[in-house]
Amino acid sequence: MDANEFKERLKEAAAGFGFESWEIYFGRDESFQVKVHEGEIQQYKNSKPLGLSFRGVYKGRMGYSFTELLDEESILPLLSNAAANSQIVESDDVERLYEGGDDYEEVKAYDPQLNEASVSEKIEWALAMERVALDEDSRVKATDYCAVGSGEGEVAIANSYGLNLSHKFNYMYAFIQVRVEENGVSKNGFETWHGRDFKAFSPEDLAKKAVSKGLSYLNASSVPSQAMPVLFDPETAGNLFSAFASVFYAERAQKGFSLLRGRQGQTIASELVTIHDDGACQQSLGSVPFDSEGVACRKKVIVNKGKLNTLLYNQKSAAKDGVKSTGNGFKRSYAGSIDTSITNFYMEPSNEPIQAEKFQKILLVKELMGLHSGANPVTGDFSLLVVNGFLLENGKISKPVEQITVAGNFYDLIMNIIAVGNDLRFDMPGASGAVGMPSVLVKELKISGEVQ
Amino acid sequence: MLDKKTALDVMSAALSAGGDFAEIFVESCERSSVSMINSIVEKALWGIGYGCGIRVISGFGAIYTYTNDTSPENLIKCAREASLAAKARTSESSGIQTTNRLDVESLHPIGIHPASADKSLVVEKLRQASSAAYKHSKFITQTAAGFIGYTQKVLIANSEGLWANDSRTRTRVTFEAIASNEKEKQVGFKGPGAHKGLEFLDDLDMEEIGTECAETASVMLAADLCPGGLMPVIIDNGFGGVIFHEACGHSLEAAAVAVKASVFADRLGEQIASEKVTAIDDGTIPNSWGSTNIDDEGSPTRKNILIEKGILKSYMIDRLNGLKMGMPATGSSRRESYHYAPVSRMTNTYIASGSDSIADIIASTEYGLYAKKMGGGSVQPATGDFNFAVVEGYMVRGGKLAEPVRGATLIGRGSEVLMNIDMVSDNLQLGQGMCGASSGTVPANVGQPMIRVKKLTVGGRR
Repeated sequence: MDANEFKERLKEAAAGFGFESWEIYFGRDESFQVKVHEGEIQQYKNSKPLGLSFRGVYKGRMGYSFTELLDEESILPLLSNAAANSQIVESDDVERLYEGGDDYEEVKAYDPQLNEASVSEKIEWALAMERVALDEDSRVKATDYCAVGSGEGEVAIANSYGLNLSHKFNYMYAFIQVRVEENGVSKNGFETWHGRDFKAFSPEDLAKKAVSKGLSYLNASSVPSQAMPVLFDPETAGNLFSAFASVFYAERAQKGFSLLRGRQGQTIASELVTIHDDGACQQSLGSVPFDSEGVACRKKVIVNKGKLNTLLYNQKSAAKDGVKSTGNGFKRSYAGSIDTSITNFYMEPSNEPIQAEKFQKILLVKELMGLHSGANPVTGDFSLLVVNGFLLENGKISKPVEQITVAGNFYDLIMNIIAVGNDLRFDMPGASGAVGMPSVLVKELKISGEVQ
Repeated sequence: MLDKKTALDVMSAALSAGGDFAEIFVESCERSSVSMINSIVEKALWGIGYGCGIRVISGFGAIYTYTNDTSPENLIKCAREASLAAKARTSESSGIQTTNRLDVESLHPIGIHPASADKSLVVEKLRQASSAAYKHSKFITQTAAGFIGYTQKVLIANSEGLWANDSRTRTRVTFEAIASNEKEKQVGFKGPGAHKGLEFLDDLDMEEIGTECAETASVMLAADLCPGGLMPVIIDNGFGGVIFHEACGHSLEAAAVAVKASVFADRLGEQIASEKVTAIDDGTIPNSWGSTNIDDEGSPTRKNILIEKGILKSYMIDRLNGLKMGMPATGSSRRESYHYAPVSRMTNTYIASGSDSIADIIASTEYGLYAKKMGGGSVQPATGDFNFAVVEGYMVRGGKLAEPVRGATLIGRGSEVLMNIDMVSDNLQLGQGMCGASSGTVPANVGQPMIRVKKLTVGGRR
């Protein structure tokens, strides 16, 4: 049966089953991607998945279930498993459905013009990127990844309090990774574009940027182990802050998984640091009017000139601290339960570029690896591989570097930020929000490289 | 899941305009999970994933489309669209074969299906680990325990006449103990799992798991920061095999080899590792976490010897990349779900036991790091650069284990590490993990006996 018919059948059945209140969350995300290699289509992917999640309060407790199979036989198992799950949960934290009453900000997340970009144009863009990259320099050996993709989807939430919301979005992206080689050593140059204004996308520019990036990393070497100032560019600063964004989640702090528990109002970062979370941020592709519970995603200042202003809350963690939800209760998809997530989380840029020339030596980090294993949001510790970077001397590149690690602790790092750039850049939003960062300069971090 | 007539109609539609080969993957997956924090059940989930993926191969390229709507009309429509996107045929299509049923006897007997079972036993088991951790050390401030159980039923049919079914049931528990003092937190983790039903929990000593994690976390809490630099590194058995998985295994996958984005491309028959190293990927180990009866292209899984005494013997190959490489597939195609086209992946991958004794390995190391427990990591297949975390480490001084050290990572290049493995002991053990790549996140075993890498960069914080 179709999704609307299924929802109607489920609503009737939920009331009859004994749920005191209930919510139906529906998600659909159609996407397209073409990858090319050596002038041919290597992979072409088209998808139309949808699914529905049910949650409801049964005998005073919240239970969850989901399905991708929207047929008559799925209705009873959805309700009975949600009811059974509700009775297993022991947490005293009260999880309630949202009764509504918010004013929702209008966000621009869907541009009908994007539909004008045809599949054949997208294929041509991907092929053009590869062609331009291979022609750009004889040291370019191949493109390891070269793809253009797009998507559109919607989220709809309805509950027994009469809340009835929906939100539509679309997007397009492209990425290319070139492999360049010199003297038997290869390096990768990766560039990505994302947006809704496809007319602003130039496959040629993106390919050329990736090539010049890859070439700039050639002839890299290690540096002796030492402590020195480290400059993260907006991308690597974004990688780092993505890995640690969860330290600002109230839910994590309440359970003791973040050291920011009880630190509201205190100085936790350098006074140069102001961090926002804003559902309706025009610079980012990931704007949303409401979270997965239907609460408005309003603009919040998380850190104000170094002082912790608020953590990020969902309905449940807000009830525990006796505050209002900040509109950060998200599920990653219809198959998940409500967690906490950022919307558009960004550090406020300064008015001028970082003055690297004032420092005798700086490590500029361009590519980081190991964020899954080498960054621990519980302890704040990180030890990450600098795949590519540059040593700057008095602001000038003195040499490309590789095979070094940069290590430290996130809580210390935010206290030790001594300059913030004016080059704010947002990552492509993922299932858990989008991070935007300017360049940040950290006073000192430990670098492990060559043994002396 | 799909009747034969519909399957044939869909495959005909998938080759109606272009394409050399068509495949259907239908999946229904019932899954259940519980998560407990600080001994309190926070979440319990249940759900059904269901859908169908259609793949059309044309030349060396592939079209993949998937949907939840498996009505014949919608599937035929999706298949036609896929066929239109495919290039004109590169080979004379032999049309759709009448189906040959592939019946594989299951190597993995299942007791109780975990997704639909009563969760009270699960809750009790998780609580045992949590209580034991709190009891073991006063520094334990938090615990997180989780359970996941699922049964994934698949039907794979293709235009060469394959018609294969498989059912994969897996059960896993994860446990994490966190030790804290005023300034620091440290984590101990274990995550045993198997291609088994709920009966898997019967054999698990949850108190031991809780105690072990608590011990790791509290020892590390008191540890000093690890010194950095180039030094010999002894990596313990079990999950220590993540070094091979990350640094070498991914570079032996056809997805990287076929496009020569791997340092091991075109090197079959050559020495790529020290002669101490024999490495195997075996998807047939009974009831093992990474095992399946058939792979996600419908071929029976196999035991593939990747490296024998240092010589590169085989890659892990899927159909499409095999076409590019001119080599047959090796039963290694995997995908997380119908959301992904299959690609060559690891199953249960390990370095085989050698003949060095554990005592000799430690005694012959003058100064170095003993990585007792490894965390996760990542690798760039093109260069083989890797990075992964040491969760529990100790210094080795004068041939003896010395003080514990925290915050270390191991950094290097796969090809160099393989050549630098100079000792391999005989205590092979497998460790369970989830491996993410282009065809999604799949359960995979890593494994090895204790090994020594004669020099490796240790990223430390001191």
